[in-house]
Amino acid sequence: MVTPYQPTTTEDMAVTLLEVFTSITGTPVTLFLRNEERVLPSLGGNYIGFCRWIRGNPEGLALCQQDHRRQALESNLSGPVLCHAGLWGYAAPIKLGGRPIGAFLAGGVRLIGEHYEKQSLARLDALANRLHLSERERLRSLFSQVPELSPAELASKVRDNLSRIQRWYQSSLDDRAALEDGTQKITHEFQIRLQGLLARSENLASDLVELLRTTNKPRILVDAEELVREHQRWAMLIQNLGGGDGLGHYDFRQYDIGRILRQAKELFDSEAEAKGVTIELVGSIDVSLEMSPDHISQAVNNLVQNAVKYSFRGVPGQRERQIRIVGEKHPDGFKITIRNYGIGILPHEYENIFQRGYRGALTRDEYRTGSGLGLAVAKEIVERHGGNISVRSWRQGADDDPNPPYLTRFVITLPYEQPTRRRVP
Amino acid sequence: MKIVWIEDDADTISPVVRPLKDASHEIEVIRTVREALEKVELIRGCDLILLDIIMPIGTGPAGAEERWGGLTLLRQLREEHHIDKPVVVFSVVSNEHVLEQLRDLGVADIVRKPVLPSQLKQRVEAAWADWQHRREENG
Repeated sequence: MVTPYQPTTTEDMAVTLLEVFTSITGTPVTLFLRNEERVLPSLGGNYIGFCRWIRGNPEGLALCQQDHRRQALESNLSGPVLCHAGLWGYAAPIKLGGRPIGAFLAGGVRLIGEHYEKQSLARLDALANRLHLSERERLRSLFSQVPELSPAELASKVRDNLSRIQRWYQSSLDDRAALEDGTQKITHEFQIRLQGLLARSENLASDLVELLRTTNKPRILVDAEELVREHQRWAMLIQNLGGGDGLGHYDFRQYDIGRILRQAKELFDSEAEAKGVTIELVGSIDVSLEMSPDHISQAVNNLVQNAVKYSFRGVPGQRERQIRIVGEKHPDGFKITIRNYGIGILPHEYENIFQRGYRGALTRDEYRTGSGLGLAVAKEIVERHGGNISVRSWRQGADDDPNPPYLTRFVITLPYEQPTRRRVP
Repeated sequence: MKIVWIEDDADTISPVVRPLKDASHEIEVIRTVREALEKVELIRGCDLILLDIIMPIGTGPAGAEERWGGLTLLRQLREEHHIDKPVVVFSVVSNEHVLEQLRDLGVADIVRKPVLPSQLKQRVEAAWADWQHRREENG
């Protein structure tokens, strides 16, 4: 079972940066994200001796953690801030792309000047009382070893380091934008080449139809038609890589679902036949629905392709070797059922099976190929139409069969009309 | 039907319009935005415009490119040259902002590459039939 990918990269990156800052300066640092009111402190492993000693006391550690949050929230996002133990830090606002997102608090120094020192010592005494510390002299001694800076030096140190981090982050954003632009250009080039290939293959097939008009299709004509379909299947794969939006905008209009179901059958007839499986299309399928035809076609094709792929090989004519595509009109929408016999899906996987990259527990070597995107894309497309998609799978055959077929049924329900019409004028 | 096909990749993908040609539609290819602006009168005289959207503009500083050159061209044809011929966009386009602008400019259909030549022919002919029908209705 594949665990869905949970992106935590941004937070990981932020915490790493805080650690880098702390290991360089030896002082605590906190990132405050204003819109979420979140406080990310550095972890403390690299703190100066004074901070480490206080944090060695459980109550001292708790006070320290509370204080990070208090400082972040009360610092007004800019200027000097005094910590609960009497050290001075500096809060600098953070802007990304010109937008303020929070504050960066760093420092943990003594500030030069009577005014600052007085406040520091008052905090230090209050902390010693609160923690009932017997080793007051030890605390004072460690405090006296904390580096001293002028307020201007502290501000400039924090800002310089912060600017370096911001420059680094901005350049990583620029790199990502350049990469996305490059990917778009490659995708475009891909689509153009694919367009040329599709056009040439269909034209070749048309030429052969003209050239070889006979009652029995010569093999070369069948080959040519299959070449066109192979390119279509290849196009499907490329489009799945782009997710439900891989086909571009949703162009909602009235379209005959029967045409889509017939095309899906034709597209995979030969692959099914090669496995000794037949595809049967039944029911009342000539129904006009409001849909984005290219997208629904992609969703249906993905399901039919899966049905072929996960069907057991067999002898043509056996009922168990049929894939049935059934269209039915229901009061709550048009229902398309795609049923096959083969590798099944376990009940606890009925939801997970629609996740990108998920593979069912029953799949084995020969069935483990493929992009793992088809069902996720189908679900995305169907849901964008206000429809739904579901699956059920039942074990068949004898109880002692070590490799039993499952009857698996995918059902798509599509509304007849779209609530929000988004037709191209 | 006389079709002007504005497409910078026409050499690579020209087979896609063969079924249209086989059906006796006349196809005039224009390969750049600059060429299109030089041939405004030719475009005015056509029945339908088949337009790629992702094309360099080619009129700015040397080497400068604008990704959506076809969109800029369409706006100029509509607003400056008052050409209201039906337009079928034939392109790799999924940017919602661009699509919104295309709809505002009243395109008849948007056909995404790649597509089978037979499907392109069907969409172009349907757009043409629909446009004629609407023109008759409006007198």
